[in-house]
Amino acid sequence: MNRQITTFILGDTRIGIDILLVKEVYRHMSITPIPDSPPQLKGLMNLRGRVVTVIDLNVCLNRPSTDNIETSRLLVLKTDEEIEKYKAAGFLENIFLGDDIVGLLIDQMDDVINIQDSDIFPAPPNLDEVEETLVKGVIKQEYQLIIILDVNAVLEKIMAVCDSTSTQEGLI
Amino acid sequence: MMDQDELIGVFIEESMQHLESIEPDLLEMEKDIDNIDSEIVNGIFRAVHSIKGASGFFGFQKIGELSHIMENLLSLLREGKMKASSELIDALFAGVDALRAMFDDVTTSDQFDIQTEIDQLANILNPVEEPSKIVTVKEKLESGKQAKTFDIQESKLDRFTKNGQFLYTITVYLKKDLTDKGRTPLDLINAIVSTGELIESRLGIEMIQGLSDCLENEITFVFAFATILEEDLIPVALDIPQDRVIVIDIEAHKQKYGPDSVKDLVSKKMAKVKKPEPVSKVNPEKDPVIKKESSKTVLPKKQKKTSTEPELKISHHIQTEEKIKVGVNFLNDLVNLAGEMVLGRNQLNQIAIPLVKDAPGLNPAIQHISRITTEMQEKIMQMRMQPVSMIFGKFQRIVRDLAKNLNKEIKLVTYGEDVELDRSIIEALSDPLTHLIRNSVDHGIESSEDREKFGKPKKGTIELKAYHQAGHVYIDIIDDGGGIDCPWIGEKAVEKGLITKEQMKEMGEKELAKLIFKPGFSTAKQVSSVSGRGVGMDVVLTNINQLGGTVDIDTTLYEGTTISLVLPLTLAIVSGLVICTGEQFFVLPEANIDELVRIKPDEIENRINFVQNSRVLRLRDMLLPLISLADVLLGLNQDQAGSSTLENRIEPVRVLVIKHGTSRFGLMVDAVENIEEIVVKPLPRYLKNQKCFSGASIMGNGSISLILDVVGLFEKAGLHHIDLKKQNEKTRIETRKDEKDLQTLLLFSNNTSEKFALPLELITRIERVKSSSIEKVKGQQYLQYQGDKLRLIYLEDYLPVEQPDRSKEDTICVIVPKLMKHPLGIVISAVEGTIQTIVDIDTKSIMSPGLFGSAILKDKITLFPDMYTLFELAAPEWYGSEPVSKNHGTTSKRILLVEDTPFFRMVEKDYLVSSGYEVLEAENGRQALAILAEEPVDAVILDIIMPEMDGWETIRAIRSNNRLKDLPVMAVTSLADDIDAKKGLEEGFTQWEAKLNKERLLEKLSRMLTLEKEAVV
Repeated sequence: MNRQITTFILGDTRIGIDILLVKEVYRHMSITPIPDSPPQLKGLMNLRGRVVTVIDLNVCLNRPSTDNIETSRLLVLKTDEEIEKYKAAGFLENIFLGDDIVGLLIDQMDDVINIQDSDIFPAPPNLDEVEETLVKGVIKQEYQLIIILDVNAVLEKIMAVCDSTSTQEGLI
Repeated sequence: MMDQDELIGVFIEESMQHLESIEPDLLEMEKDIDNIDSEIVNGIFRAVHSIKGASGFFGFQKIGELSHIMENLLSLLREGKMKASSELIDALFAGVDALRAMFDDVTTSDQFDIQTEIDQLANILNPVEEPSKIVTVKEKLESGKQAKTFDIQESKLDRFTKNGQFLYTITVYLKKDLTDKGRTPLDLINAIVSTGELIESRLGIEMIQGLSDCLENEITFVFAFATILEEDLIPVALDIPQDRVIVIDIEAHKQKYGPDSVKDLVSKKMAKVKKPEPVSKVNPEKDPVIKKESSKTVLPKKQKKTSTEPELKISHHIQTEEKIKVGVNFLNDLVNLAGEMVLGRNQLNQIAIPLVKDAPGLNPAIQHISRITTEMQEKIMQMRMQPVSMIFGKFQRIVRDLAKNLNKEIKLVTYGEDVELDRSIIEALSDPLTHLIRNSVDHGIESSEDREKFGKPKKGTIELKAYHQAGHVYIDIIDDGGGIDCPWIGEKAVEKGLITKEQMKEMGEKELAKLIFKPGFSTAKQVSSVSGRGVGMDVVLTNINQLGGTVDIDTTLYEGTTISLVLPLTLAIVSGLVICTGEQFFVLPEANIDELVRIKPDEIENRINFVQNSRVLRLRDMLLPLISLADVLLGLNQDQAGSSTLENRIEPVRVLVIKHGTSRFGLMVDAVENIEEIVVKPLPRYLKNQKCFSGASIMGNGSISLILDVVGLFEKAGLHHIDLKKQNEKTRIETRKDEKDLQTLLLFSNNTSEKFALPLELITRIERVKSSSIEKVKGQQYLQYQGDKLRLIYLEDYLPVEQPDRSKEDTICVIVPKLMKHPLGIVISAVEGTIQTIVDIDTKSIMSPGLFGSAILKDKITLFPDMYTLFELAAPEWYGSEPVSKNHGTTSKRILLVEDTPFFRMVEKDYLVSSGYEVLEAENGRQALAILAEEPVDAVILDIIMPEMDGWETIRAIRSNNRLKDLPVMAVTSLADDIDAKKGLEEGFTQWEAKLNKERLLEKLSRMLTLEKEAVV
């Protein structure tokens, strides 16, 4: 199947996600931090009256956070409701974005590329840029490797982190 | 013509509104037909009158005709010339229906057949004048028997037929059927009137020839009766044997009204009647006789009415304003968008205002948009608002049914039905309110007998009041019942283990009353069908709290109870206080805030204290736990909160006093901004575990602020959820426990930068004198003091301290010590105040003879002069003494020193050790007894005022112990009174001595040890 992949850059790694998952790319960010929250949660943002949870993708992928760089953008993801039609049409499968709008904070936007499903290869075992569990596959493009992110796994990881911080609190 | 058409439209609309308003009024009239409210009649009259007037203007003849006759009828009623009857109301209803039918198609209204309605009305208006045909009807009997006949107006008969009523003749024997059964004729008449209509009656006196006949021959009462009841139900309704009921044959008459004509009528009416509303809903309540019968009679009657007389005033379908249904989600979206629009408007304003000067016309445009936006938002919010009458309405019925069940007489009075609340609140309010009302009926209002006994009106009253106050909606449930027996509630709560006996004693009436809201408490003495349904009052409280509301209770025994619910207007919009901490804004719902406290920098010391490492705020007579918002948000609990320092603050401290259930606490914030109406948005799932926040909100500047959750803050700060009272009690104990270490110190200076302190306990008074009044004698300085001479000493003469400048003109202060045989006054330059604190005296870093040690008080190194040593140095001839050890050879004696204040313990220990005694220490009587039980001791020095176990108790315990009863015990105390000393010796002390008199202490101790038992004063 023909797919469009939105690609972006974290540090010097090129990462991509299916464009169908992306609601919009947002530039003017005024993020309200959440006190005593895990570092992956950057804060909350107002997107035309809706509350967006901003996730620092760098921290999430175990990279150093790159605060306030000029090229930073917020990749706002759709919600389950919004991708339902794509799922029904068979363009997306096994993806659950939840009902809350999530924005991924990234260092820099890159191109949108057209690929075939057959262009996606399983992640090589020696891939060290991103945790293996968060990678869906890779695309080889010319001399560069694009890592396709498993958005589901990323969101699950965040949820797990959020849950565990609270249990610790509970124990104290 | 155009104008005319438009006007007709307005006329129709208005008239329909009038008709709508007439219907409920008529129903209201029917409820209490003998006692109608003239206001209601006036209202109906005015409505009909304006219809009549306008119809004449437009030339709608039939409408005019009908409304005219209705108006005539109503005006008679209004002037009291006619009594209201159910017939009259029926006729009016019929008229209203006909009018409405005509307005539905006003252009053809003149072709409408309204003769029946007109006749019906005219009948009532002018029964005599009406040349009505008389028809004779007779009983339907098997041939051979003589049928009784009755004359009846044809129009009446028509009506009966049309309404599906049956006609009967009924014979009642006055003796057999009434007197013997204990009924009066009036009972019968009531029963007849309530089940049907009496057409004609005769008393069968023709059979009675003379007086004697009365006894043998029954007097009969024969009447013709029209009712919808079927033949077999009449005996039940009227309590007579079946054979007295005979059906009147109206078949022949019915022919005239063929089935077709009836059908026509029905279909004509049905066209505009969507849901037939059974009128019987009203009737059974008014039919006491029927009620008394088995319920069997009531039910068929109802069914009968609805099935056989569909056209009988059924069409009271209340037509309301045209409405469309909109989903709540859609509404919510609209609310969100409106909020967004406000934000957009604000942003636009910010950008556009500077440009206004250069762009003519921009300013009005902006203002226009601004106004419209605000209005639109208000309107959208209003869409969610609904009147409380929505739920108030059903309570009439509930109260009525319950009261009947419980055999009580109660009326419910409601006020403020049009007060509006957010839909979601209204919905969530229904259950708690029902419960509270049930509770008032069940437990609040007493039985009628009890009420009469107490001299109250037999009928209890429950008031349900809704009103606005201070931005909230209040709903009061007020009953004039027995009130809550607070002590009984308290005992019950103790019984159930909800509180302790001690707590109960501490509680006020109101607090006791509030116990009914505790989980596990049910005031129902027995589980009845009314209460005890598993919904406790605690659920009520929880529900109301969830809505952001509070519950208050106010009760007076024998007089009644008032329960007030305080509710926010809406859930979606909350009034919140915007506060700032660490450069971030947060919102705290206003409902949670009790008060704002601003503490000036110089008050901090007095008002914010530490109790066991936790900060507390002194607020009037309370000690509230105090937490800093910044600390809590960072996850520091209360014990660690000391990290942020308050000392040397130049800014005032701002504290919000927060209500949390019954307890309160103080929340320190950096700044309080303003109050804002905020739209609450739920938190994303990733933050669901964040205890501190309950939601998010978008502020005027478009940024997001988190809404603080009081319960979460409370928990996260590690505060314990305790009852307010308990909390107070606890803090009180804590302070008391604390007082054992607290000492009051006099702070003073000597005209130098050095600071000094002395325990206030050692000082009799402080004299302010002129330097010039000091007299010098033989190189020593004296002051005349209370008729005696007081020798003065200067600190700088004996202590390694700075030399102050002294001039003759100075006013100096002289500290006069307590309890000295030869008092010496200490000259100081100024008193700096007193401080109550826990002293931790450092005896090592700064040491010199005459100095006891140093401590840091109020951020300053403060020196503690050792008065006794000073005096020894200054006047060796008075204070010098020899070490005691010399008197006692080599084996040192063991002394148990019992003293709670560390300072005195240290000083006294020092005296003793320097005299060669071995010293054991105890902080209170309990510890002392424990030591005495295990260690051999030669003597005890005992303080009197101590926590936990004081000196009196201790000496009694010592003396009651066989082994210890002869042990020498000396009281060393600041209780210097002779009476105390006397009492002390009586209680068993061997010696009594004042604190900090070293020579006397050592002298008496030594004597006590040598003489052992001998008591010397």
